Amino acid sequence: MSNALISVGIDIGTTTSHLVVTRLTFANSSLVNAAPNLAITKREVIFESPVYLTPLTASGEIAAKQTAELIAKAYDTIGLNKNDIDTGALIITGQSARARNAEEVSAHLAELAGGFVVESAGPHLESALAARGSQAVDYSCRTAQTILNIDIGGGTSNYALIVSGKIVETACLNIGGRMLQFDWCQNTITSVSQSAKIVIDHLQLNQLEAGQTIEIDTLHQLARRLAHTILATATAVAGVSSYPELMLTNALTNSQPAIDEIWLSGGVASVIDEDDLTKFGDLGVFLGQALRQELLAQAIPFKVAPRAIRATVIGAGLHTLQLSGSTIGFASENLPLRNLKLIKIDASKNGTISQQINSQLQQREHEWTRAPVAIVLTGLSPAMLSFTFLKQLAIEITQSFVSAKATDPLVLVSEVDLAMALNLILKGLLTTDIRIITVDGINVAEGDYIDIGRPVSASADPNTQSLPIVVKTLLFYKSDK
Amino acid sequence: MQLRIEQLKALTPARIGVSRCGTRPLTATWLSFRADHALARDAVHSEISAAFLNEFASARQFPQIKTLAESRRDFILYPPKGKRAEQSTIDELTKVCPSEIDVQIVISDGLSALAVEENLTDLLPMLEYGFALSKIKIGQIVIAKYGRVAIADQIAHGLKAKVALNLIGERPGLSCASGLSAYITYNPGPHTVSSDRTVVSNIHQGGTPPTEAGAFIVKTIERILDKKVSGVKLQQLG
Repeated sequence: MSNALISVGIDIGTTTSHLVVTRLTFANSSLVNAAPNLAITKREVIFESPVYLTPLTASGEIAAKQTAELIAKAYDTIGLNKNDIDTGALIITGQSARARNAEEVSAHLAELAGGFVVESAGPHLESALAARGSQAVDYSCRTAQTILNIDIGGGTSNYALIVSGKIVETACLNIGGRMLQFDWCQNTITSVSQSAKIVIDHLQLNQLEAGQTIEIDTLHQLARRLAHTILATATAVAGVSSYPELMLTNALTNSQPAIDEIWLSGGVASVIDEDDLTKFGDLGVFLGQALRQELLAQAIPFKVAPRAIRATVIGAGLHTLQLSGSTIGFASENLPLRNLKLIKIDASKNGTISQQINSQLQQREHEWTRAPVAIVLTGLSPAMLSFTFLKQLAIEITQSFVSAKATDPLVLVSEVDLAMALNLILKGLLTTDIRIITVDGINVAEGDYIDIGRPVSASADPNTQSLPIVVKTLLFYKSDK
Repeated sequence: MQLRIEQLKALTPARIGVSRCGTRPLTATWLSFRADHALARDAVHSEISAAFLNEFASARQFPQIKTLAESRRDFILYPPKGKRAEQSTIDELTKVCPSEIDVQIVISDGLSALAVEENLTDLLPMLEYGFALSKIKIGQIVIAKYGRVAIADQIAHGLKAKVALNLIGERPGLSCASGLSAYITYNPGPHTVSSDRTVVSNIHQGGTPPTEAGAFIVKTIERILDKKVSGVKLQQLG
C-alpha cells in the first residue's frame, strides 16, 4: 500500500506562471499502542517547471487557452499523467485573480489538472501559501522567532506575519514589479498600472506615462517610494499605510511582538541583487534594488527566501492538503466530494445548533434540500467531549438535518478528536440509508469550501484511515475592506 | 539565535528548561516535581472510591470481585496476585453473569484507580452504545478490585466470552496520573500471553478522549471478531 500522495501546484501569476510536482509522505505518528493518527511526515518537491511568462491577450487578460497549453507541455516534459495526481492546487494570484476572465482560465485548467485539483485565489490565502513555500513558517517554528514574509510579485505584495511557526495575520498591498512596463529597444514606457498612477500622481512624476521616454532617475525615484511604502506597510503601527487606497485587504495590526526578521520571496525578491536594470521589461529590478537599499538604510534584518520566485507555487503544492485524524467515520463509495460549502457553528452552545445551522445556511444562500454542506463544529475543547454532550449535539444535528429534508451525505468537520464517536452516535440516531461522513483534526479557520478525497492508509486496518482534505476559497478576489 | 524558552516549554508537559541554582534545582521546580511525584504515588496506592462504586457500579449492579491480593499493599508488593482470582470467585460470577457472549468487559483499578474514575463515566456509555449498534453482545460488566491485565482473561474464559476487554488504570507518570488502557484478547484463557493482546492506551482528556477511544475500541473489536485474532497476530494482518 502506497503511503505517499502526489500533489501538483500551479500558480498563474500576474507576470509569471509555474508548476511544481510534490510528494507528500504520511505515516502513523501516534505513540505505540495508542489510537492511530496518520500525519504528513515529509513534503518534497520532485519537479519544478521553468518559470514561464504568463500568456496575456492584447487587452491584458490571461490567455486561457495558451496557458492551458503551457501546463499541458509541462506535464508532457515530465511524463506526468493527470491520473497520477492525487491532489493539488491551481491558484490564480496577484492582479490576475482579478482579471475578468479568471474563471474561464480556471475552468480550462481544472479539467487538465486531474480530478482533484482546486481553484482558489485571494490575497489572504496567497500570502499564507507564499509564507509556507518560502520556508519562513518552518524557520519561525524551529527558532520560535517572529518573521514577516513579504512575497513581492508582479502585481502585489503579500504579507504574512508568523509567530513561532503560526501565521497570525496576512495582508496584501497592490504594489509589484509589473506596475510599469518598458520597451528597452524603443526606450519607452509601454504601460502604467492604475495603482502605479496613484503613487506617480502623488510624487508629481508626470513624465511617467505610457508612450513617454524612459528616464532612469525618475524610475529610481518611483521605485524608492514604492519600496518605502512596502516596508512602511510592514512596520506601521495599527493599520496605517502611506497609501491606504493601495491596500487590497485590511492592513496588518502589528499587535504581535517585534519582528525579528523580514523574509522576502516572489519575483522581485529574486532580483534584489541584480545590477542589469534592463534584464526584464518592467520595474522589477528597480524595485528590487530600491528595496535592498531601503532595508539596509533602515537596518532591518532580512533574508531572501531560497527559491524565492517559486514560494507561492511550492506552498500551493506542499501545503494546501491536510490529512484528517485517523479515528473518523465515512463510507468510501461516497468519495471524493468536491466544493462542499462550509457552515460554521459554535457547537459548544447546546440548544442553539439548529438555529445556528439555519441562519448560516441562509447567510450563505444555500438550499440544503438541493446539495449537501459540511458543518464545521467550532468552539469545542477535549474537556467538553462527554458522552452526554456529544449525544445531545448529535440529536440536535439530526433534528436539523431531518427537518430540513437535507441532501446527504451529512458531513461534519472538527478540529478536536471526536469524529469516530460522533459517527457512531449519529448512526444510531439516523436511518441507515443516510450517509454520514465525520472528520476531525482539520483546521478550517480560513476558507469557505472543502474537498474531501478518497481515504489513504498506511495499513490494512479499516479503522486506521485518513481522508485528504483541502479547505479553500472558490470565490475570486473579493475585498474585505 | 535567540530561542524563546517559554514558547518551547509550552510545547511539552515534560520538565524542560527548569533552570538550576548551583547544583540543585530551583525551589519552585523541586516543589512541583515533589507534588507531581506525590500525585503519581497516591494514584498507585489509591483504592476505587466508595462514592464511585456506589454511584456507578452498585447502581447498575455490576458484580465486584477481588483478585488473590488481600489489600492494596499486597497487590503492589506481589504483582502476580493481581492476575488471578480464586476459582470459587469465578464460579460465583457464572451464576450472576450471562455467558457465551461476544465481549466480557472488566473494569480494573490497575495502577491508577483515579484513571478508572475519571474516564469510565464517558468511556462506558460510548462502549455500550457502540456495541448495541454493532449488535455485539456484552453481558454483565464486572469490576475487579486489585486487578492487573490478565484478570480479564480468566474472567472472560470462565464466562465463555469470545473477547476479553479490560479497562485498566495505567502506571502513572509525572505528567499524567489518570491515563487508562484497554486490553483486548480474542479467545482468552490460561494459554493467553501478552502478545495475544491488542492495546489502546493513553485514554484521557489530554490523550485520546474517552468518548473517541470508546468508538475506536468498538471498531477494533468488530475487526477482532471478524478476523478471529488479536494482539500481534492482528497487527500482522497489516
